[in-house]
Amino acid sequence: MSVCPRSNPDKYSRVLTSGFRAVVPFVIALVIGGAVLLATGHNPLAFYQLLVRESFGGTDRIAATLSAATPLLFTGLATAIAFRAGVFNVGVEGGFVLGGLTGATVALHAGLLAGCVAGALAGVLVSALPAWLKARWNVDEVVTTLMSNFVVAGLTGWLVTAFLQAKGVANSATPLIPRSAWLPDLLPPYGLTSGVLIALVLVMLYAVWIKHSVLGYELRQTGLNPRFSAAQGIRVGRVIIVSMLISGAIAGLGGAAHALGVVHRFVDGFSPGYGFTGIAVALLGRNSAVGVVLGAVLFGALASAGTTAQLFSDIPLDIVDVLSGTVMVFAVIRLWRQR
Amino acid sequence: MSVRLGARDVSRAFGPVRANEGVSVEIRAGTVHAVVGENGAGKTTLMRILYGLDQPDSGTVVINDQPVRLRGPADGIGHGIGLVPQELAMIGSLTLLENLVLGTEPRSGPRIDWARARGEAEELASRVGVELPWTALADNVSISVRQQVEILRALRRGADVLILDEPTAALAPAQVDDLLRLLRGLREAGRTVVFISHKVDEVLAVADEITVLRGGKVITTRPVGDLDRTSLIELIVGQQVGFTGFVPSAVTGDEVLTVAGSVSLSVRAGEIVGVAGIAGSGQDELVERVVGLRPPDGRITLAGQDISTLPVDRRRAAGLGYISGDRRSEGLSMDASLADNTIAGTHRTLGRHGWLKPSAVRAYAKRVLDGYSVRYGRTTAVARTLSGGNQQRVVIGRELDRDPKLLVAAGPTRGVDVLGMTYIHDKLRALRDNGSGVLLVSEQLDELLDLSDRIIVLHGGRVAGEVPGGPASRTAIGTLMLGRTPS
Amino acid sequence: MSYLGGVSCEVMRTRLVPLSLVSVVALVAAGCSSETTPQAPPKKAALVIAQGGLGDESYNDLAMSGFTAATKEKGVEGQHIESSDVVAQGEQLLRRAGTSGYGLVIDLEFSHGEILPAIASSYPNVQWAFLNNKIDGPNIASVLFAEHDGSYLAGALAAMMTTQTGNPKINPDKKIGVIGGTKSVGIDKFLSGYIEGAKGVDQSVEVLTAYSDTFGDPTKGSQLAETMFQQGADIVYHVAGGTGAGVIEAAKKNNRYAIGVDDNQDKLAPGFVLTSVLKRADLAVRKVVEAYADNKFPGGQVINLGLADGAVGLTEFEFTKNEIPESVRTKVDDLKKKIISGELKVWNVIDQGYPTWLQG
Repeated sequence: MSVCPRSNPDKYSRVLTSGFRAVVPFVIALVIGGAVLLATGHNPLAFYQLLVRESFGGTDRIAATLSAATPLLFTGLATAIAFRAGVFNVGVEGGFVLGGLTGATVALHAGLLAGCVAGALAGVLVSALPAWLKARWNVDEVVTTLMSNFVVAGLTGWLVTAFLQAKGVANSATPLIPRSAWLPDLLPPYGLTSGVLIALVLVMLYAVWIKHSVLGYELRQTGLNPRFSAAQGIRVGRVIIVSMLISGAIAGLGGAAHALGVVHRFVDGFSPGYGFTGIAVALLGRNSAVGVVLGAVLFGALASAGTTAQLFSDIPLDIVDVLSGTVMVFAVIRLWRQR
Repeated sequence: MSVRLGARDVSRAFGPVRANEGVSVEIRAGTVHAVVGENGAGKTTLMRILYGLDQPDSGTVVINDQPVRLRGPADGIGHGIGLVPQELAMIGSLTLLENLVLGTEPRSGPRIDWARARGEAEELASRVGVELPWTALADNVSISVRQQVEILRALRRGADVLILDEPTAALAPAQVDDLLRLLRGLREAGRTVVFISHKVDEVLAVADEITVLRGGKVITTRPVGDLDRTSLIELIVGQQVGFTGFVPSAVTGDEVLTVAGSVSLSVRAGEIVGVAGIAGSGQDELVERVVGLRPPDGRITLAGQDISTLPVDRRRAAGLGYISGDRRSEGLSMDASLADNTIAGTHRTLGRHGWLKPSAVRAYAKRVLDGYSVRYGRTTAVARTLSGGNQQRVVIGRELDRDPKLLVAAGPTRGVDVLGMTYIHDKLRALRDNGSGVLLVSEQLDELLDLSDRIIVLHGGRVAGEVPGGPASRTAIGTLMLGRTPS
Repeated sequence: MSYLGGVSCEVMRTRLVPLSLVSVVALVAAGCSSETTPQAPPKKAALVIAQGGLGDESYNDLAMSGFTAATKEKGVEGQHIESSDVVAQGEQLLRRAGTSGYGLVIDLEFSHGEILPAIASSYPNVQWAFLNNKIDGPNIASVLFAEHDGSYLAGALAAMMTTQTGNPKINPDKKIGVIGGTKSVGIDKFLSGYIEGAKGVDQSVEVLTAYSDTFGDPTKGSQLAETMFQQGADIVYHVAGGTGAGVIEAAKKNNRYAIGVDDNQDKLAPGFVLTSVLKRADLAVRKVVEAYADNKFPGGQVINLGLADGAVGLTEFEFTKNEIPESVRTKVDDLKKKIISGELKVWNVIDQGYPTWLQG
């Protein structure tokens, strides 16, 4: 007997409810940000208007928003796939970074396609050990994947300075990739990389695959109820490994696309934490394809608009950190409840 | 004062579901009043309203002949009403005495007066005729003992009306007897008991009056003397029910299952082998080893093939079916759709080049669900939205549709109402008569005796003995379950 | 769980709506009360902050202080721009700056070097300035620092100090050392100047070199310096960012000298940092802003900042003055004058490639 009136809603109100829940964190963030702005003597409405204009007010700004959203589409999707299988992979950052370095290095010598493939393989490599540890010994993947991020950060730093450093550059960076190996821009001169198309195609594939493929089915069931899945003959350990490897491949490909399409080399500051923002994207988007796109665009818009807003206002970047930080707090609460 | 607790024309709806519709009951002081009905008949909703956990859309609760409005459980407790829930809320690392007085400890100054607490506990227990190991940890005692402590706790908080929601669901037969004795003791001590159940025999054994709910409405309230087993069942289900009773197997064939290990047994084709034992005697381990969810401790064969080291999917492919005893977390995926629940395990055969065809999935699910009379709206609805009985039909359908050579059925009728139970029993017998073997693990003695051709009794993880099926074995099983040899 | 979830959602719904209503009202009220923006001044300059952001107590902060002071003095409206993702956002950020009414954009982020020419040509009416690298474009001014000149003076000073007697921090060996953060021309520009300075004073002084391969590992810096001290070096110059903290730490521990870089690091271990080779990003930014304000922006040119401008040089020996003999200080001053006058020309690895005294 059902006690909770929400447990059997019709479809319309269910969509409304989940839409409402997705918007709540953002509204609260706006309110908190507004309070901070008021307290520091700024006009919140004017600032929010500015943010909207800087996010979507014109082709160049939309290009900037999508450009900032692109790495988040990759990392959000990579995270969502693992989460969907019930694996809390927080190592997407590491996959993205190693994928970026590998892609940038391989593309130098072997071109665009090889760079992308190598990047994806590097991402697979990063997620392989935590995947095996989780599937074989049930070692908590949160710990192992988090640690793998640190290992990758140290490894890439060492590889660059010891072997891959560009000549004539004081800072830690690999050589500039030749133009022939770049991912082409979509909207010259606004610099929107075609990596965004790769990401969107992957998201669409994910939407279909997770719903209609045999493996997607097993992945969903494993995430919803691993005990049930095991009892029905789904090889849960194998599904977990596969989900982690796919997650790693997408993360690594994202890094390669970022290197080949945007930065054109691997440098210090290659990823300002795309993998971690990707966790928030996946959580807010409830691991769905549409949700990942919306979440990535939201954080992308905040990042790009928050930067250029400084051209028109004295309000420091910190206020944008307050906004995205508040949204992330909700994402973390959701993570905690999922766990 | 005649009506201690009651409802007057109470209605309560959840969305389109009318859980209670114009329900009126009168529970007289100093009686044991049973509320019976199928799953989904509205019993639990009514009890929650009577206790103050839920409020009716219309109608009122009546206490001591007066209409009252209960705003929450605190109001219920204030009126001397106590609820013993199905899921007991006790702290396992505390002793029974500590759990009893938790939150209302007798104090002398700043310190807890344990001597007085113990005295109060003993007095309370003797008044209703039970003896309890007060210094044992709650974790270390049986669920039946914990339930008794829960009852005493309600009494200690001043309740003289006790509502027990399906109290026998998790109890072994001997423990049920203890509980019924305790309920009679409560009545003799002048307390009022509201007893919710769908088990006809228990109700007839202990109640003074019986209210039958069906489809959210009261069908009748009658003194127990006016009813017998058959008439009560027919009132509950609203139609005549044919009980098959014990029908032994006609033909048995070769062994479809052999298990050698800490527990050794075999099942032949065309045979139902029951497994009895008090909870925790090794049934779960046996089931998990046969299914492949636990590493083997010996050799297991299925239809002559050694499956000891095969994973679950290979065992299923070799002809194994499995009805889990834990429907909510293993038998079904509650948040997955009915279609996804139905195709689980068969999904690979529905796929083509790694893709599932939505129409084929839907057709398969519809065929199975319709074939096993599951009441559902769409195949995309999540399993959680179905009633317990319907959920179990999904499991039964999924497992039986594949025509397994061996079916492992653990508690196949747990939480299922009378009609559902007879349905499932008939299906299991039909499977057997078709030449399959069934390994039936159940806590319900009646079910084992009715269905099984042979019954293996477990005690302490070992086989304590074997008896033939049929009602004559009841006493022998009870003895073996306790680890004694039948005389 | 779902039941509880439902309840908490209910609570949120009822409480949130009024709360957000209140705040929207407050926002509207605030919006009405504030004045419209004052008329924009004719000149506007933007400073793009590099990775690490403001508060790094180094490059960014130094540049920012010059920017603030110069814009204020010259009546230019100045705006700085930070980004949490300055590497990837470079293209869009700079383009947006080009269309936003700014007459001057100074970019501190080195990774924008390759994209700047195309962007600058798209916005010919905007002046662009870039630090630490020569970027071609008619409306781009590049600012380079003569770090080799500053390093030359440090090398000369170290070579003269290592032959001193009666100073407990100096050993009899005629050896000094230098640690680079990475093997690259940008860093070897410092190393080469240092070695040249030392050899110029005394051909027989031996200069030990090493690379830490990291700019952020003080432990490694400490180990490398430690090794050099054991090999007989008594003064070790570091060109290794955060790694250098370990070099200075090791000097203090072993009672030897370190030489700091970029900022004045003398006070990090008073008495143990012989001097620091300064690189004044603030002066660079100031110069660019002033030129822009005076309509003399050196588009298409390279601004070389060096000893003459005080943008590169040694510190005032605040804690080590008494340990450096008068004659040594005079000699360093002489060398400085010779470089400024052009009489002495220090090898620049970036322009000239690798010299004989340093392996490429």
